[in-house]
Amino acid sequence: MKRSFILIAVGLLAAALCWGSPQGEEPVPQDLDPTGVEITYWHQFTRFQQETLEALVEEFNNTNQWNIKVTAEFGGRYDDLYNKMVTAIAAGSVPDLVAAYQNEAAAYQASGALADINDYVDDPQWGLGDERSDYFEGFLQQDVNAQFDGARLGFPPNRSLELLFYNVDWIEQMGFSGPPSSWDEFYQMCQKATNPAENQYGYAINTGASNVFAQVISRGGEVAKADGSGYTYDTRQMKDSMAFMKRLYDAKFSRKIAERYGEQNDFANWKVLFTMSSTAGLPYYEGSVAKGEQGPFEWSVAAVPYTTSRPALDIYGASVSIPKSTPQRQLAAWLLVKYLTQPGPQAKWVEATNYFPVRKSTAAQLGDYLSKNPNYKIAYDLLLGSDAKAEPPFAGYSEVRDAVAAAFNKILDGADIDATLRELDAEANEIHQEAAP
Amino acid sequence: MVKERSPWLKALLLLLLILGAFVSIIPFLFMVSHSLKTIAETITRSSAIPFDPKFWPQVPQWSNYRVAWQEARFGLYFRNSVIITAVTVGGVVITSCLSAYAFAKLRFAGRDLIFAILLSTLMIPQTVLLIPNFLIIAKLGWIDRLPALTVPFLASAFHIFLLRQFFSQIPNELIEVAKIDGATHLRSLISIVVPLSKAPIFTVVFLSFIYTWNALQWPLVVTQTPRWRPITVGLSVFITEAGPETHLRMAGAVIAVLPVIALYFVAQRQFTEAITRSGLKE
Repeated sequence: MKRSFILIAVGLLAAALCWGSPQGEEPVPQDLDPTGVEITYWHQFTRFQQETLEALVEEFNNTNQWNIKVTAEFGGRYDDLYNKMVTAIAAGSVPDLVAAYQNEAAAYQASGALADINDYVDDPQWGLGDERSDYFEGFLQQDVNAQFDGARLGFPPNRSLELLFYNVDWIEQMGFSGPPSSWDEFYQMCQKATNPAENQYGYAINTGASNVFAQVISRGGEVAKADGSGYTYDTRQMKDSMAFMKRLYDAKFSRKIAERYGEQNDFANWKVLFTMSSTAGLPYYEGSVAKGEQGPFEWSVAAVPYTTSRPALDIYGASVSIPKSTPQRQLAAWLLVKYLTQPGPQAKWVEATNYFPVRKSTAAQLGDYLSKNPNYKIAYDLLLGSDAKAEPPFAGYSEVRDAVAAAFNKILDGADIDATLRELDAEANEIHQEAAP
Repeated sequence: MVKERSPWLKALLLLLLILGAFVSIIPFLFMVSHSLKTIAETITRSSAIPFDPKFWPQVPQWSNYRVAWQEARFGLYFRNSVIITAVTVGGVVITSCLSAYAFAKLRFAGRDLIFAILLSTLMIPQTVLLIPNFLIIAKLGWIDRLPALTVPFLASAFHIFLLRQFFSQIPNELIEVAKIDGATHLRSLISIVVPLSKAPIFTVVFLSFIYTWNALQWPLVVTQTPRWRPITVGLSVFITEAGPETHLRMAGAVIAVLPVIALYFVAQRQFTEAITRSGLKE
């Protein structure tokens, strides 16, 4: 509701947006010169990630041939940054580069605030050129939004994957040779791991929309229509996913987690065999396992069980968007983005953040990072051998995510699956219509 | 003649009150205990029951406070919060006293209508005001400056209403006697009304202090550099994307909440008295 209020306000104030000229709707002007331009970049990173980013930005400032100067500013966490950006759009005082999830970028674009980065990606002078093939295409496609006629509203500086985290020692103790590759195997392992006397169980349920998406695509399904016209939550794959989770939950082989990051603690303390989480959490899992109640143990990551021919992985992460301003400032922002996605800076970013790089050639620059971080390497190899899928980039998807989580919880608590998913589908599409440009 | 309660009933009530107080204080104790744990202990030694040894750290890690202070630039943010809060609270008290006196003691055309309009602004959600307020601040050139963090909050309809109710109870005869002696309305306010209204004024101070001290969204919107960011921004840096740093977050939270607790203990009597006399809930 709060976001709808803000979106309505932004829409009403869109008429006041005579501030910025609609430069992004035209190709990049020829012979554009970004020399001496000073731009600002609003990001969401803190502590060591912020330090690393600022070091990379400083490197760009000192080495770029156009003498472009970038000021990177912490704009708050995602929700705060979103509010800040919406307010800035209405006031006409936007930054030149801003971190934004795809659905947030879509919300900004509802008032025409962003440049279409396709103009820069494909530009003969400033574009990616031959380097494009070095980017993971699945990552690049994530920011192309069918709601806005295929406009590219953001560009990925990094990505994460939704993977299955499992206790290797425990699986071997139970007599299995490796992680489950099918949902039936997953069920069997959860069943065998569950021991109420020791307060142990198989899977820590994550009712978030990303987890739901990961399960649906693992069964060959989708949650949205490719043409951007709406959502599809009332599908066979969605029903199968919910029915499976309900069966697991009713049998008490899985539990809901109330405490934030509680599943990490349970995993570290040998209470739960499986969790599903982001690869961004790898260092935290490592730290937790090292300090668990029963001491360190061997653990690893694997693809979420799947019924498709290849694993389907949910890739996600905030991109960076270029708000409309002047041609020079927009170009300067794009040049910063290109720099940050060069293999050298990408390698430094990976080592500091554990995110995945957006370029394949970054692996060669990681040195012994992959060998020192075996679980990261496993995840990276999975990325290379899987189908990368992304959640819908539609405006209003934040509200839909809340509705998905609520529906998942209702089903676990006993609601009829078919009826709940029909309601969810209707609600999601209603939100989609309200938020549509 | 008042019937005395049976001792058993008294004991039962006392027990219920003790249980209630105990349950209320557990989250605070949790925050303090986790602020003194190592990160390993926050994972392996975690309990919701203060009587469980796992609830408490084995060896208090006082260094967590130093790390939180340094990592989150708490020194700068703490200073900013003190300045922002002092200016805002001072402004709220002054504007609320002046306005409440006018609504309570003065007669002028449209007084009741204006008061009704003032009260109606209480119905407007803060989120709706975010963009209009920001537009004004931006036009005035106050982005990333102290006035952006203080001026929009120097007046409060709620606190005006609160004080107006108390001021209304003060007999008008006192004002009239002062007027006969040559006192102006301002003099009457300062010398008569305010001294008689210490309890509600302390309430205004306390409530506006909490509101200003805990603000996060507005400071993040109107600031672009750490120059004037408050302590709440410092706390947010310990919220990471994929993992907890609970010990540091709790240490930061303790640092942030200490001034509020200190103020409460200083103004506790007046605060309780004000609530009791007004019949308002906290």
